[in-house]
Amino acid sequence: MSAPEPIFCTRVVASPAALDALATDAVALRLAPDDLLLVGAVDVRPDDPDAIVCRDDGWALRRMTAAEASALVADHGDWSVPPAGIAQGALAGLPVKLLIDPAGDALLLVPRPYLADAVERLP
Amino acid sequence: MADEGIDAFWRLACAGAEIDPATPYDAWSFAPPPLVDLVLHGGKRATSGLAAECHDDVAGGYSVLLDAAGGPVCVIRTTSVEVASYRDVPPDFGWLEGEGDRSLRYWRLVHEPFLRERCLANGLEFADDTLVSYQRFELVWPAAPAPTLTADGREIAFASGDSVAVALVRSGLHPGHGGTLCLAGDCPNCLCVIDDVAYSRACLTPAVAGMRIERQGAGGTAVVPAVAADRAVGSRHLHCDVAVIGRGATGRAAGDEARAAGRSVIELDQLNGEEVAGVYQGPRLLVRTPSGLLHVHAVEVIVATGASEEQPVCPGSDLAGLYTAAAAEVLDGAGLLPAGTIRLGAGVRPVRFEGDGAVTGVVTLDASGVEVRQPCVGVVLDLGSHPRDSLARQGAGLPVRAVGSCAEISALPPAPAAGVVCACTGTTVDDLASVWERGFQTMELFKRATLAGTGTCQGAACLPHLRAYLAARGGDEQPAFTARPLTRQMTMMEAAAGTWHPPTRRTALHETHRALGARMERFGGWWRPWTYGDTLGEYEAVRAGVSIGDVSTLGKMLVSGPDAVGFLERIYPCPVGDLEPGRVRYALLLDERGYVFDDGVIIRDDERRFFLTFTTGGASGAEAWLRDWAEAFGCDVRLLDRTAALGAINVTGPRAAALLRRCGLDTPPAFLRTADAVVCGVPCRVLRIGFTGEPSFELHHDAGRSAELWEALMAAGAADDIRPHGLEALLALRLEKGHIIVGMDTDFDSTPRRLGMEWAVRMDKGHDFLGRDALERIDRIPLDRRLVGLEVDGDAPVEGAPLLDGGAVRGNVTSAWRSPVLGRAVLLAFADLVDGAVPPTFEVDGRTARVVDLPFLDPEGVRVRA
Repeated sequence: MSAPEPIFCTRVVASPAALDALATDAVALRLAPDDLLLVGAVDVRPDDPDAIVCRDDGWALRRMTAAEASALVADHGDWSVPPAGIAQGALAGLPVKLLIDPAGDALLLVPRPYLADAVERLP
Repeated sequence: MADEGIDAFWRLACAGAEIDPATPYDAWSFAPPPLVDLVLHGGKRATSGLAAECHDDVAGGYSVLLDAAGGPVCVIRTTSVEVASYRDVPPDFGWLEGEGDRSLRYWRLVHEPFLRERCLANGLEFADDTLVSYQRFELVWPAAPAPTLTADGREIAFASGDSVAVALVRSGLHPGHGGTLCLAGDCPNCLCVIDDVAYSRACLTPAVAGMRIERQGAGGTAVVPAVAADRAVGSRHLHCDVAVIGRGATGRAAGDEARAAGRSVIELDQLNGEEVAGVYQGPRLLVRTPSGLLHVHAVEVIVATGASEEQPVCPGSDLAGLYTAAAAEVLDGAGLLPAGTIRLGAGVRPVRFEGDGAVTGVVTLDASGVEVRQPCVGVVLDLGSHPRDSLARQGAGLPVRAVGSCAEISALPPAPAAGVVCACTGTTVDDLASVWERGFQTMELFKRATLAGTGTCQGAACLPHLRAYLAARGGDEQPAFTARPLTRQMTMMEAAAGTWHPPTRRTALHETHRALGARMERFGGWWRPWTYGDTLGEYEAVRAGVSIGDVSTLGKMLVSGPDAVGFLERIYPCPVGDLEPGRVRYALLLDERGYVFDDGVIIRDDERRFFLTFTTGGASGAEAWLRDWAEAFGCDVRLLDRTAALGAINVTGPRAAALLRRCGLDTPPAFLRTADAVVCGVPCRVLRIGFTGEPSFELHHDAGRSAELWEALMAAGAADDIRPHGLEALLALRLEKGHIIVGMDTDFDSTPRRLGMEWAVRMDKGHDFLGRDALERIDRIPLDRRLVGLEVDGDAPVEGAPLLDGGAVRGNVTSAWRSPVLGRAVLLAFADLVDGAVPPTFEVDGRTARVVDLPFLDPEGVRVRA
């Protein structure tokens, strides 16, 4: 597994209905009903005049297989990894988000201020 | 090597091992081939494969094992072949295969992928019931030297498969200086320090060449060795529907039943090195293994730990040479039960054992009650058994159930009359009597008063006897005492496994600061540059020239929505609705009690969108605070925490505006205004503020471009001798300007009035806000103390120093700094009011401190607005 690397994302905060209706090919993590994180620079316009859409430099990303993600969580977290979808929790004391797709790939996102700790604690 | 080479090797082996060279043999290598090294040097004595591929394996057959290059390495003889399902792997196979930590778990870890692959190659589908050939073998040639370990400084040999306890008995040493051996982990009598780990159960620890053993003894206190820090213990979390503790017949049946019902099952057994040490809420099992700790999270736990054999309580029960029936079976199997050992019949209870150190005789009663003495060198006892239910009792109230003999109710033994009841603590029958006479007559009190049951075996050996004693004295059977984790001692490394200190966040400029020689300190949950080595120089750069500082740690939030104004009016004690787009307003944050818990600024982007900042320490709680209240107020707002996404660099000093003009900001915003601009090619939100007391421009930008912006500003400011300033200089600069640091110059009960910041609250703003009702009540109470400014000649006193007035303590210093500009020390301090007024002077650090108006510097705000 490679170390996590800083990435930039697009953050979209809008009404849940507007996010439900949003169509994008980007890798998407629905962090909350009104909060969407898209990996990469994505031009989206949710149907919500008060939507917040902005670049988000606050993340580091590590790609791995779902099996590697499961092993990582087993070694460093006390939560279980779903077969697919998004999971959020602490790994080795660090807040992370995990996206697992049905094809068996996984993305681990760590807030960028914790990147150095993630490199050290999540080998 | 050609077949001729293998054949020559075979003939050499035959000559060495006295085998008929005409005997047929096979030649093969492991997958992977280097496993052959474990046969020669690691005690590997078994292998397993897909049964469909192992038709030719027969007991008695010889094999030449080959290395990766096909060269012959050694000769083995198959001693047994067993075909069973993958699920029913023999419990000792993890150990015999010799791989990894030799646990069954490791065996599964490496064999499941291997068997899956072989199934695929044979057109089969792997499942739990896939048949596997389990082959045991012995090394025939070259003969392996007998492995040795060191016990009490003496080198002793042991046989493959020996536990440490058996190895000690094999060498003529009683494992623990005396006491009945159960060889099942129930008693404390074989405790040893094994490879620097005290309180290890020798009977459950496989002997490994090179081990260092110190016998500890029942009730003995080990000198806990210092263990090297590099022996860190890992931890791992597993999840399942059903966890079964114990892989005896009952446990396996329970596991099979759960699997048949489609539930995921994890089976644990101390004989496989999986020692369950505690049952916690969840339920969660804490399991010690040779490779680290396991946390098994289960929906249901089935405890199938069986029963432990009763141990005798009578004079002499601490002599060596006493064995339970099961222990005798183990020793007999190893050929170690001494000749001259006698067996007492089932239920025959000894009156006493005789001997000096080791048993030489046992006294029992015959049918007529007459004492009968039998000389012996060992005694095998068969006193019955009691449920081994400590783990089940720990799970009381949780979905934890005992099955099999662990769940059965056993008859109590006769009340003990003399001897040691609890070998762990050395509690005797006389001790029990003494405690009883003093009124401790219930089980829980009895345990606490005698300490019986609090030792390493946690009552496994003594509990039936304690209950029997209480029943005999009190007339009623009392339940077992409460069982609590842990049931086994753990090392400090194990206790620390999987725990981490809270991480400290780093800004995108962390490495930049380090490259500049900054001393980094933890502040508000972040690493921040405290100083770059010359705090006074950094201070002077701000006061007289231009400087930059990393303020990325400030909390930053975006708020938008149709209710944004109404929501923020209820959050802040200052007006929000009248703030024009492009304006910045300082704001306090109050809790419901009217106490200040944070501060920051409000920036209005447009009618329905705001940008808020918070202190470094308050940032992490700001989002939750706003979300909770938005929900409580029912406000339709969107909230986004931008703290990690945005970096912020404060460009400050008399020459800051000029620098920014050179960097592309043609019209720097006026004081308390904001603008969007491109600075040094980086898009920024520019906030004109004045925390340092000098013109200050916070450049908020995408964090990924922080380093680029920092370097560009430093390059552009070189002509002005720009230098970065650290937190120490910043704290001094703001102090001269009288700005508070929340958490440093505030207490938990600091109201705006106590801080002298009534100006930041508008009770008449026309909106209710958090803390308003409390402030109304508080304002009716006379003020008792407030934050004041003080000046002292000479150096600054330490922060926290008391304010004295006529010898009475009247307050304390919250911030202090000797101001180079003013030529004296300036202080912020909480001071008690006397007769409704702050006294004009106090004594601080033996000197007179004069109360002065704030701010200390530039009271008209000329500099900051320049």
